[in-house]
Amino acid sequence: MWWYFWNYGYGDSNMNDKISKFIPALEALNLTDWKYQGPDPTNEAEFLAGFYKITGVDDSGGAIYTNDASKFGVTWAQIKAEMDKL
Amino acid sequence: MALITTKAATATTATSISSSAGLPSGSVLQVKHMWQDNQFAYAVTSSGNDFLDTGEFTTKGANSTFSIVVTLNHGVGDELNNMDSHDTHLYCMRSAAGTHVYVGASSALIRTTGNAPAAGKFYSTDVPFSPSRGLSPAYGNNLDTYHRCMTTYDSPSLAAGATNRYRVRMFNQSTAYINRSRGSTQCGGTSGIMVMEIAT
Repeated sequence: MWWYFWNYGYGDSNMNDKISKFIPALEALNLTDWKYQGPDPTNEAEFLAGFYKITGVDDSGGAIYTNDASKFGVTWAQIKAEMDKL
Repeated sequence: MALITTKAATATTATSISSSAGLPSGSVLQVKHMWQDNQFAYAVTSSGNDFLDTGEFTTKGANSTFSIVVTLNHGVGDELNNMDSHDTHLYCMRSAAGTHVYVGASSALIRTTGNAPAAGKFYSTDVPFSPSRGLSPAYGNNLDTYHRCMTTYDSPSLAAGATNRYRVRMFNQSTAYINRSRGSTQCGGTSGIMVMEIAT
């Protein structure tokens, strides 16, 4: 069986290629009060569509989000630069 | 012609059933359900995040009991050997008659990490279970997910025709993943909340 693990490893040998660096990049930038909806983005258009920032709290204590990029406090260029470092 | 008469009678009966008046205790008056397949990642936030929500609905009967079933899918917060600082807290909130009340809660769950309110949780963890932590590579933490479940009864003494709403709220001490794994949105699941109004 040694040849199996030599050639394939455990599970999917290409699994690291599937692990997105998007969320770790956001964490590395120490951003808080955001959510991201949808598949991890690969370009600015996808990022702008899925990123939301908290702008307030409703009367139940729930977060109020905006998809207005002027409120994000971060740009795709900053995130991409951080992703390239990881 | 006899067949047409039978259908008309059936329709009349159905119309009668749609009214909650006179139905025996235990009858299901209506069912509200939300199925969520969107994938979310939530940063640490100072306020609650709702990702399952029946939306507002109108009660069919007076003083009904509401049977609530929740199942939600989430990823593992990290792949560290020590998963402290990754607490997650889950609540189910009823919003009716101008008030917001947590239902289905365990009084034992009082941790306040991640800006969580002390009371009202149906699930709370300190140092979440993380099956392949400390291993290298830690594939399981990055790519697998869990389901959490909750069921409860809620009897808020509402009038017929009142507005009611149930939603699931989360507070998290680190980035939290709903319907997806930490490492990939190709791995994950779906979540849902179902509320049945039951005649009393």
